Amino acid sequence: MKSEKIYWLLFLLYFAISSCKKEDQFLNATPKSGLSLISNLNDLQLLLQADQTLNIQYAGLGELSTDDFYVISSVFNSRPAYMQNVYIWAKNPYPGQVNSDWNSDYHAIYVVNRVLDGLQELGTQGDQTKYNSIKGTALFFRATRYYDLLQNFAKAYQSQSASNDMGVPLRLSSDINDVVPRSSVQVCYSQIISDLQTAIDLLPNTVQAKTLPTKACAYGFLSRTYLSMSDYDNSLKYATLSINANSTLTDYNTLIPTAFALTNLSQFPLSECLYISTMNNYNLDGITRAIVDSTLYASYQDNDLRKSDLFVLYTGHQRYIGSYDFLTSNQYNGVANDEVYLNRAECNARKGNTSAAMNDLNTLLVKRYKTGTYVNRTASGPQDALSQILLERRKELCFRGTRWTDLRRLNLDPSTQTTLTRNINGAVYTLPPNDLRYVLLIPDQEIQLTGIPQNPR
Amino acid sequence: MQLNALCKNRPVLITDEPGKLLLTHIRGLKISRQTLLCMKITAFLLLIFCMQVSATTLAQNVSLSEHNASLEKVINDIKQQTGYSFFYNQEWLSQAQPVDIDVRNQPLEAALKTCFNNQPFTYAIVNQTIVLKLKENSDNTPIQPQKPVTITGRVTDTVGTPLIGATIAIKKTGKAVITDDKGEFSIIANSGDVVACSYIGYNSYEFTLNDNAPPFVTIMLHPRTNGLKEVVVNNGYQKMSLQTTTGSFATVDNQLFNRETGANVLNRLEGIVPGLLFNKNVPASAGIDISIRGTSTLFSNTQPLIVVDNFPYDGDIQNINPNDVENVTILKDAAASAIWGARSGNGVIVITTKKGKRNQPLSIEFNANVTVGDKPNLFYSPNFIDSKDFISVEKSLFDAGYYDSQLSDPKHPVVSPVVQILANQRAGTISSSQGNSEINSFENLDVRNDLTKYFLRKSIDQQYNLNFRGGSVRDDYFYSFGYDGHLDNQVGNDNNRITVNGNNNFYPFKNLVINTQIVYTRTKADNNGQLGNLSEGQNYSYNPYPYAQLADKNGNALAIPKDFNPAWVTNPTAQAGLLDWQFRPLDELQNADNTGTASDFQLKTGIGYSFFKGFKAEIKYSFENSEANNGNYFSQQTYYTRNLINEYTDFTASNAQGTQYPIPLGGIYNSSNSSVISNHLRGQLSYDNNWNSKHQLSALAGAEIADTKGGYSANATAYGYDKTSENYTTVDFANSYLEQPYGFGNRIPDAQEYYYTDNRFISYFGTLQYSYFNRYGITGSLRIDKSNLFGVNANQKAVPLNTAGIFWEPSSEGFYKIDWLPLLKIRISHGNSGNVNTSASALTTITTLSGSRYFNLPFAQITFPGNPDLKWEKDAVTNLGIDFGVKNNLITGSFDYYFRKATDLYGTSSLPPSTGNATIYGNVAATKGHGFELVLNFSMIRSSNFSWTSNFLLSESIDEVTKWNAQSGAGTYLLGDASAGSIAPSVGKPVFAIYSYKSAGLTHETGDPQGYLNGQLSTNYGEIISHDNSVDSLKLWGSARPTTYGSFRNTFTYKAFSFSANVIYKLNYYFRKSMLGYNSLFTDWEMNNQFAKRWMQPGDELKTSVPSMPSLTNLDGNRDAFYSFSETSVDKGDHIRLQDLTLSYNIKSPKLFQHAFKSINIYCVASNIAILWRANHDHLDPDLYTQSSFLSGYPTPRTISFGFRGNL
Repeated sequence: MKSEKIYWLLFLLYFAISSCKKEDQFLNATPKSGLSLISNLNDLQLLLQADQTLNIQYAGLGELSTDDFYVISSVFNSRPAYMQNVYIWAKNPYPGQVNSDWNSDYHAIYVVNRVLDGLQELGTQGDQTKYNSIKGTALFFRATRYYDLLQNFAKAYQSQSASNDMGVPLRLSSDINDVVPRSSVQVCYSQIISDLQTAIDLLPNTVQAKTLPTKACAYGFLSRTYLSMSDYDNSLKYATLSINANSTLTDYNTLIPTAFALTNLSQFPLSECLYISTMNNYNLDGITRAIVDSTLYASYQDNDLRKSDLFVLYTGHQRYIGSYDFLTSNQYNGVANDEVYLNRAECNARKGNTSAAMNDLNTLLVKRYKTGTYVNRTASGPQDALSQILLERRKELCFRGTRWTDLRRLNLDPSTQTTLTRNINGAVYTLPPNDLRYVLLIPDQEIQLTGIPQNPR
Repeated sequence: MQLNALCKNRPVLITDEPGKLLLTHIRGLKISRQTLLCMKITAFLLLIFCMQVSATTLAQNVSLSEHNASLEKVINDIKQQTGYSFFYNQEWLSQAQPVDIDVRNQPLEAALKTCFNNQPFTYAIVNQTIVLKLKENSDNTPIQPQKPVTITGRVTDTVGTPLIGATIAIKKTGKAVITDDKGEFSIIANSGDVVACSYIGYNSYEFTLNDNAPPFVTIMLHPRTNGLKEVVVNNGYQKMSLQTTTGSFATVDNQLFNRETGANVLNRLEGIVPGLLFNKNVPASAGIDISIRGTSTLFSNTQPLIVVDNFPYDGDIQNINPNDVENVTILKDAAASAIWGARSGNGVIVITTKKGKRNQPLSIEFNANVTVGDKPNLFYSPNFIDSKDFISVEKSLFDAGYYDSQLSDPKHPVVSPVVQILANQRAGTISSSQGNSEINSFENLDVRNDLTKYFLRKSIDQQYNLNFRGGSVRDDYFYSFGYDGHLDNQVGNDNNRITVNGNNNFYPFKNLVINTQIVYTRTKADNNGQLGNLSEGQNYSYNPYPYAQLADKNGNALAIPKDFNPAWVTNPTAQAGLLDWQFRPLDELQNADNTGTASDFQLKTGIGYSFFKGFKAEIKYSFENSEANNGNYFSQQTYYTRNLINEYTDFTASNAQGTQYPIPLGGIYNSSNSSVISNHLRGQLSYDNNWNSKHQLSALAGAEIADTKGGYSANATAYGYDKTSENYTTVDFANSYLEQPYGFGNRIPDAQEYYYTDNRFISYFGTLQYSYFNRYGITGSLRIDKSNLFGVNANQKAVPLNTAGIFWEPSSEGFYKIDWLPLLKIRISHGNSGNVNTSASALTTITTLSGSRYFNLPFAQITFPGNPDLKWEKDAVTNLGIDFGVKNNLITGSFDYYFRKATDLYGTSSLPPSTGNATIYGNVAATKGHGFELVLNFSMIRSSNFSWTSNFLLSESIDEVTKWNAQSGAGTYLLGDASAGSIAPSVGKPVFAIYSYKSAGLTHETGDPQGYLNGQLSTNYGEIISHDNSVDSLKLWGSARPTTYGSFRNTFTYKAFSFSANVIYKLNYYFRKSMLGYNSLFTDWEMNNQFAKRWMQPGDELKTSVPSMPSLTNLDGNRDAFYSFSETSVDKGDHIRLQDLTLSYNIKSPKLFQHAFKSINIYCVASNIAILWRANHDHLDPDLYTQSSFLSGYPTPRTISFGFRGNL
């Protein structure tokens, strides 16, 4: 009897101990398919290939506020209140609401910060080239997102006041518990520039898909950044480096236009496109809502292919169909060589290099006019060159997300100021140059949870 | 429907028989092996069954070998071996003598004789029950001469009240009568007979009849203080006497369970279980939604754990044949359910299936019924506007130029026939009078007539079940075969189910029992109903327009607009080179070919060994494999296929393949397969004993390991599919094509998908119950769960969940003198149960996917940022219970009061969006709740021919969010509650809460709805909505789920007839009505019959709350949004419903079939009969999910069943 008892106890004990050992092993199984931890460089590379996260949903609020387009009252009235408010530059356009521009920019920043943290944890794993390209790509994405945030939620860069003007919170790690205050505009731009310069050293010259950045593309974006800072020397420098690396321009005469897109899919992506990214759609939803500003449309000559290829007449109005992303209905705001040429032309004009400036302009425009009809432009002097170039910039880059930045920058100079006007439901709204409303409000959720200061009104 | 969601299948090129297709794919050989296995098993079962039939014709024999054993042990052995039950008073056993016995395979009678030789008892065998009786001290019952006497008398309780329905039985002959409504009886007996008088809840009284018995006897019965009648509850680990438990249990016995005839086990529980609520106003996709005592979680699984025969059931509940169910136990509070640990927070439903009994002859039971259900009533829905009104709206919109952009849109969007006629009139292509007469002819049409005629029918359910049970000395068995056929009330949908269940227990030698059970279910379904596919598809995504015609006078299919403008689709020039692009719903019904099969195989086995005194060691194992296959074939005749081919047509063949048809001509086939495989293994050691009939102790400890793997795979869509040859064409899924007639680049749709889940648990558990004289008792339990659910590096912080409880039965105390309340028991328990959530992880996890948006690259996304502090959800419940019985058992019942605190609930909490995550998922929320359940059983009349019993259930469950810090705007709370199925938490508010904007009536001049802005009446809707966007600015109405609910059931029996009616009530809650929105009427054809009551001229605001129709230039989306959520959108949901009526005729030993049947039962059940009372003023059924289409959201159709149950 007794021995039987002991036998049972031993059996139970054995059962308990042996099960403890194997327990951990048993419970380490992955509970769902597709779930894994970040364990190697390839995982990080895959995270950077998520174009749904990283290449789309750049801020669209700025573009929504520009004079590229207008809407009629019935369309306006059918849109959600916050869109209406942004469109008419209301002081407090989205009270208490989540703002997808702010959130999507910061979400992309979180992902690339996680990649950068992952690089630190994993090291090169014996593949320096891959490590470099991942790091360069991540830094490039981060720079473009901070640039995007600054164009919408901070004042335009002015060297005198940049150190005191409020920028945005600069998060450089993926730790969600970090408490980060708003950095100054100066510090933010410095971070963007340093990220891009590091990226330039690390990025490859060619990539498998234009959703990933190349060296040329980083040069181009740095040129864009310096231009937004009115730093024409540096913008010129990096535009030149970009063009030296890749000078391709697409001849619009070769486009195969379809009814509602710039060209057909066989030409996607356009050869002059360096990098694909798109903005949040607001009112710019395809051809049914936004109507092209009539003055803008009238400014194209009849032999200008852009007049026919970028626009279509629909229900009595001209609509924009020129997005370089003709795969989806999103508006393109990536880096393309036309912009880089225009950057260099403008910088040269501002520096007094009239012929170099006009040379770049003509190089671009000859690809935009019907073959054999373009007559090279000339300029009487740098000022004439500049005004021609600014006009062509307006025409070439409309609906590309650059207009809002250009308005903010050009308004700093009294000679190039613009007052915007909206006419809707019988009321007239205006946005004078350098108005406080050129800086959009940071969403309430961010202000309430972090206590960072809101932009003044 | 379940199948539809699960399955699709890819063709196999070379196969000559269709069946093979399903077998050879994905799971490949595995399935075919299993099918084979199942066939073998079925054959095996049949074989065993045949053997059993002969085995059980033997007499009941027993084998016993005991020396100096307690009588109780011997009784238990006999019970086990024979399946006979014993009837005695526990206290008598203290006087029992030890037993010496050694019999081998002897008849039961002989064994009993030996056992009771020197005992102070005698025994009698009555219908497989062995009734013990204390021997009279003095006389040895001298043999009296036999002489028939008629005894008459009355049975009363101790205060002299007559007991109606008491049984007077002559022991020797078994002859018995029942006291009448004066408590009186009359029976003929012989002198010397022992006469027994018994009554439920009272101690029996026996006397021996002698010659000088008085002509009239008065028998006074004493209330029973401790039980002879034992209610057994099963918590899935052990069976316990309800008397010694402290938790809150509800039991549904076989008779109650079979009141309803439905094919789904869970549906039969509606309205008969206290504290259990069926939430009907949830989306159909949610399936059956049950809550036990309200909601204890926010965003984790809210459904109770379902346990079938000791193990959690991982398959589809539809697979369980209700005819195999013996009884159901519902574990409501933590003390009852916590043995199930981290999965028990929502309560547990324990289903026990039928078993055989040892030493019982073969018994065959047959049950057949047919249920006919009404056609769904499409005319119920408020989401409709009659054709005349609808056409008038279209006319005014046309005049205002509303359709001009659609008519000229290069996408050729749909316009309705009326709009097209108006456009043609304007263009002069038809004359004004011709157009007008065509439009006039539409005005009397109602699409609901065509839909009812061609798409709906009466549902017919057939149910057949045959089972065999019995047992011999060494085993018992139960076999059952069931067939259920269902013709759905939507034409095209039907399914059938076959179930086979074999349950054997073997007792090869003393103290050892081996259990085996095999259950196999196979379901086939056709899912070809088209009601959900009738909407236009693009702009007007809700409904067909009200004057749509689906068939001409001869019943030929007519086309209605879908996706594109009919004028464009029927224009030969525009359509050159394209397939017919018209949509004819009636043809779709003919051509649909969407089928599914599902199977479920369960194997359960166990071995138990008893040793020492009261110990038992058991190992139990359960294996389950559920498979579901679905194949959806779209021939080229279907709109689906024609539309896809057309959309992708590339006239210039400019694609890489240089083909005009990137989607080839021919059919399209989607197929999928899903499976669940689960393994559970449990080892447990239990101890069960009592001493001196005073102390009773039972303890249990064990460990369990469980692994449930789920898999789903959908095959790549097969294009150009030929159903007979099963050939298909490979297409290019990688590149984008421009869609016709206008579009951006799109890849060819591909259904291919694969995922799996793997949930693993290791658990340790223990329980303890001790009671003293069944008068006082304590209970306790402890459980530790570990799982792999928290991420790849499992966070194994196991939280022990414990419970404790006590009970006291004052009515068993010597000093207890309350005569009118002979039973009183008080229970108190407290415990913790938990809830599992699989959607969070402690570490950053990524998901790797293929096919990035632009260049089709593989990519990865961060699934979960990682939260190292994750814990189980915890639910602490305290329960206070009272069980009582009023004199004569006139009223018995219970009252349970509980309060609960649920903490560490999963939810999202707001983060600064600059962290990159606007919310984080974690243990951020808490709720509290309280409530009660009152059960009252009235035994109104109990006479020999007639009885009337009433069962009254009243439950209250009230909950409140106590912790929640995520920020949401007012819109979240308004939209969140609309379905009553989603939760928008706010501290201090009910978990499911209904809000509205604060609003006043319409304006006098314009009929605009009015809200409040800064305390003033306002019609500035944009400002009203956005000015104060907090939840506090809204009016809180209350809970969207009933907080008071229950049922009232009355059962009458008269001779062989039994009639029962169940009334269900749900009180104290609110629901949101579907509301008229002008914007959505114009842009989506989303209709509402409020339109007819709209404000039309000043003064109407006194009669109506429906706003005026706005002009197009004044169309403000915010006005609709405000009105949809204004105070008029909310109404009280309270209602009382006559749920069912049942009538049955029950004959024991029927004369007509006396050779065929032991008993037959003929029954008729009518269900979903009517709402008897409702608080709302619009005659709405609040138990419906608020819909925006009239195609869905009809009341559950009334059904009536006729059935027959026979016992051979």
